[in-house]
Amino acid sequence: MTVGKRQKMELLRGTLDLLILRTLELKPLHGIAIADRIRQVTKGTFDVQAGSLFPALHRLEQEGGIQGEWTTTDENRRIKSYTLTSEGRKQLSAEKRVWERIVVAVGQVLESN
Amino acid sequence: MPLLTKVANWKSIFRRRRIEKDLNDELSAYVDELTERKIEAGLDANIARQAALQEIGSLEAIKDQIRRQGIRPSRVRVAGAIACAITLSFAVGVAVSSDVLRWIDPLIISALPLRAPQEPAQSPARVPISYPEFGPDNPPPWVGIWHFQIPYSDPGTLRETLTIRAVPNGIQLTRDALDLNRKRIYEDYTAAYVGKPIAFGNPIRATIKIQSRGGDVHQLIVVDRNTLMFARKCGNPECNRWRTTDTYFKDNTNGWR
Repeated sequence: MTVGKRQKMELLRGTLDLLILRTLELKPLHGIAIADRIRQVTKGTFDVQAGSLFPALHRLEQEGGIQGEWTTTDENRRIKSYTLTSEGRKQLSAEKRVWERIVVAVGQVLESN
Repeated sequence: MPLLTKVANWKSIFRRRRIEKDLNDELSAYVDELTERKIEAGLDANIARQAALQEIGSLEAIKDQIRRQGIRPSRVRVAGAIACAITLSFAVGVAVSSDVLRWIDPLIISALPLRAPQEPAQSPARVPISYPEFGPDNPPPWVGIWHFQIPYSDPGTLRETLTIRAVPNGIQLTRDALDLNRKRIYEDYTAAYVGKPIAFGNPIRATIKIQSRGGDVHQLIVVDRNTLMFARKCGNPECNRWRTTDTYFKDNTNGWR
């Protein structure tokens, strides 16, 4: 039950926000759990580092797409858990549509002779 | 300096301090978590911390980047307007509801269905998680309801399917896979125990211990009908903790992600 080592890829600019919003659509999670989830779902292709993750989380929080809430774990550790807001859901839908257009457009270029 | 400006300045200072503290706490929690993972992987505590810090890079650079993003003034103004509206709503709401409750109270609220209404209520978050032991004489109430099938891809197998079924005396897990030589691997695990209270911050319904052929010990945790987790016992003998590795959520199409 181990995830195979795959070649890690650079995230396209703006894609991280989409991945974070989609990850939080399922369940509120804290920073490292968001990175874990993205790594798990992409089977290790995207390994989001703290230097990208936290600025993105704070930016999304400021924009109102996600909301941070402090909770205490069973080990008495204070963690900040993020939840997708209704504004974030709208943003996710919009970004999904943009992404689909990008995929189609890039596909058209690659398949053109 | 006018009083209102002074108050605004003080508020701004306190707010900035709180944001800084929160940022420090959040990044410290991340470093601690990463350090623990490295300890579990077998590193010495000091080396693990150094390795975690090295992996994260400059914490100050991350903080600077977040600080540079700043707080948008428009949002602050909006937040202020929302706060005023909420305060006003509360004031009106409290006044109206206290008047209404004065009439309703003798009819409905006095007869609260509590065992000891005079005792203060305990916060659910502070109540320890506890589940009864399930067995043949005491089957879990959800028998027959649960049936999960998780397609799982592994580099060592062409395709793997995990099936989880609720059976009268617990939970059963079967793993069906093909190895690279197209040889079928079929393994059957019955729940080692069900309903033990193991806290991952979630109300856990059942757990299944899985000893894989490689010797690793995994645990499947049925959090609820829509959430499954895998956990792994850490490799370091000094550590006796389970660490969640993968989480699966049921999506709208009844598939698992």
